[in-house]
Amino acid sequence: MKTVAVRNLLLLTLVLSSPLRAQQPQPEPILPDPKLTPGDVFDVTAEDICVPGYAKKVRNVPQSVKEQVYREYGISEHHRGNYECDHLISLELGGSNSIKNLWPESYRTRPWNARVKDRLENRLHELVCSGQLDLKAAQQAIASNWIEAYKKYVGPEPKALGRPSEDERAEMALAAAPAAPGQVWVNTRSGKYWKPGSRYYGKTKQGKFMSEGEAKAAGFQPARGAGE
Amino acid sequence: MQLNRKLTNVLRGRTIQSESGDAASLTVTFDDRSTLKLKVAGQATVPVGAKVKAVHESGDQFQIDVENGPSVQVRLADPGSSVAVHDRNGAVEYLG
Repeated sequence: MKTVAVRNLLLLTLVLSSPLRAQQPQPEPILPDPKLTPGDVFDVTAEDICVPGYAKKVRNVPQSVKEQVYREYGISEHHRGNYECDHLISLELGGSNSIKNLWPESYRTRPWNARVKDRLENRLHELVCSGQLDLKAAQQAIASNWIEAYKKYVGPEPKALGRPSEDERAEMALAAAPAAPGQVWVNTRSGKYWKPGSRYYGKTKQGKFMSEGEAKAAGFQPARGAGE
Repeated sequence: MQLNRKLTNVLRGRTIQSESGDAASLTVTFDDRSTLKLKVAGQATVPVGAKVKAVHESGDQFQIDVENGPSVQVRLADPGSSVAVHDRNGAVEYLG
């Protein structure tokens, strides 16, 4: 009798731990909950955030804080590539690492997802640093409703549909080719630039092409000393 | 408490020259005229003349280790948004 009970208990444990067990559907918000994530900023100016490499001076978000963000949004399981623990107001726009500025943004929702929001973040940073948009206005726009901000500052319909395939990445690389030969790729987050043919040329999450002279004039440094 | 490597690399070796603040903030000025500004929950004091050895941070707990003296413990008002270091010219050196 006791043996049967132990065997049943073992079977139950096996069933519960089986990968075939139906997984709970996880929330995939496309907008943050304003109560949990109203947005938060550091006390910085446009002059501060427009210095190349500014975002590298901000501490990385500790893993424990990321886990807390997922818990608050009711996400019990998350795998690499499913979500980004995103700064609602991006670091590049002066956003802080406070939990009030963090939310789990899906890579998989369509058409609005983390990669689409990255485009908006880059666009707003460009507008602020070129003097076309006030920093506070940019922070407010992205914090209040990033999708509406995208429509206003980038365009009506995003084309990105989540994680691109190998072919799509190759197409994107061609589409994102430099306007003139010999241009360098500036990683606007790190403040470093890469020369054609180097490993991260055109490949970092945030960046843009420009001539090497323009990159140097703007204060960007060659990656690894030589940009290669 | 976890070592804050990035901030330790910024502050290690700097000597505390003065401090000022109230129940909500603490400003520390170093011998190179850089400043550390903290948004705090409660009063905190730092030992003037001490040299920074390391910084630890976990949640709202913030600790500065100094050479030849007791560590300074501070409670941050809003973790992730309460610490700023600027150099003598006011340029951002660290935020967190």
